[in-house]
Amino acid sequence: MMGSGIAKWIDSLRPRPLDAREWAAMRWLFILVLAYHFLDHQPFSFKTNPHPTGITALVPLTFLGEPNMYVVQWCVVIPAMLLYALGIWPGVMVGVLALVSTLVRTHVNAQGFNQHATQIVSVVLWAQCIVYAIHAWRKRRGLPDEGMWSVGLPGVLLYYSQGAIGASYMLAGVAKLLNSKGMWAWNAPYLSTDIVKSTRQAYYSTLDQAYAGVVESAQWLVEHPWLARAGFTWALVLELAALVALRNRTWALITGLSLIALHLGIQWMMHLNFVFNEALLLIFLVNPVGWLMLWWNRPKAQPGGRERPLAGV
Amino acid sequence: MKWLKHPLMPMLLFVIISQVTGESYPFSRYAMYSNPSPEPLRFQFLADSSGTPVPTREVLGLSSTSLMKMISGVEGKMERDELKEAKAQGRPVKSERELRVIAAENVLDYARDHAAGKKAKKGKRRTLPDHLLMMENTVSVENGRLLEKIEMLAERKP
Repeated sequence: MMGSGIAKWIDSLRPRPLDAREWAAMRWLFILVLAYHFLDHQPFSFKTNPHPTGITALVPLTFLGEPNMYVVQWCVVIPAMLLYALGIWPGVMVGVLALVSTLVRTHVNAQGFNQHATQIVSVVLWAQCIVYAIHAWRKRRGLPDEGMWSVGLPGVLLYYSQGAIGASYMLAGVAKLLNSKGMWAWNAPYLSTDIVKSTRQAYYSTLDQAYAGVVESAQWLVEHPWLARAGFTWALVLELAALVALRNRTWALITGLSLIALHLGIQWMMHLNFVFNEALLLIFLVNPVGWLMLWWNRPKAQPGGRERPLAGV
Repeated sequence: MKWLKHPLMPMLLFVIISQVTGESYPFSRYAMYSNPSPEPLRFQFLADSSGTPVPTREVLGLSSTSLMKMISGVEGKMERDELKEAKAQGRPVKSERELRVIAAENVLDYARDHAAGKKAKKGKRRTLPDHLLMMENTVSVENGRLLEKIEMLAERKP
């Protein structure tokens, strides 16, 4: 009985209708994140690909280290971002943005260190690009809007944007289970050494004295192993279950806020920055614009007046 | 079979593909901090000839973590090849520390090349010292206390 209840619940994680205006607002917010992502000069300072990874294993991306490539990048992404936000050829534009994001960041990772800060942005871009491509292919084939496509394109786009984010967290949770042989939460007090490491690395990067002293949060973990286990178990569950955000607007809100809280906690403890994760969680899961629109369109007690509920509740 | 057509399936497929591809942008296993262990944790940082840390963000535009990841990446690759190479060259297998020293020297050279290729910014800006050290910090938990031990791993003289 319980098994079938869970199966039913998981089966309910399907796309829901979404107001096109709400999706347009998300696109505009998303391009702010993209602009911040493309602002980074660092990738263009690397002249070589000493440790090929991803696409650089096939095609060197050293041309990105040539003079003025930063400007060239902006010449490509500014029109692409604007057209995408305006809804003009959004599928093509999101493909261009996904490609530029992937090439630039692969060039960075080919230096021999993997940076994960922007990975979630590229994954969401590719997810949207694939949805647009399949939608265009279905239209060309004259296929009817049935199954999940019956909710309309904005609903499917939001579903897979949220799904790309949720799956990224699930991946991190799966890695913890696999690499620690299921002992991650039990061994969580040993993360104290990692906390010291990340604090000191922040010091060695900047010589900011705030990171040079005793690392109290790390010592606290050592002294309170059971509280550490309880806290980190909750973090692991959150990561593994992030796809529950696909249930509906309320679940997305709860999941989004919980994951943002998790990031802020890690940021306080380990001095690690999750600005892109937090921004995407805010836009696509917490979705304040959607809640505002919902509130604006709430049923009003007007005699004879008709309500116009917002889709996707 | 009905489950294979569920809209969730692409997400699960993404998780599986990422596990197979590993670190291949935009795919990743996100394996950071995935295996906490009681073993001492080593990490490296750049320093001048007196052992004073060099602010890597300022002089290289890179975080200290990036340099540390480079060392472990090079070390990992050497570890994988070492047994075969030692056998082919008829020499004893190098120890883990010996390999880490070579990897650190490699990264010191990279840091110098990278600093040389970077445009100097206007105003006061620290530059990479000619005499460079790669220091190693080892963090451990002993008798309920966190301990740090810092020693030199590798150096590059002018």
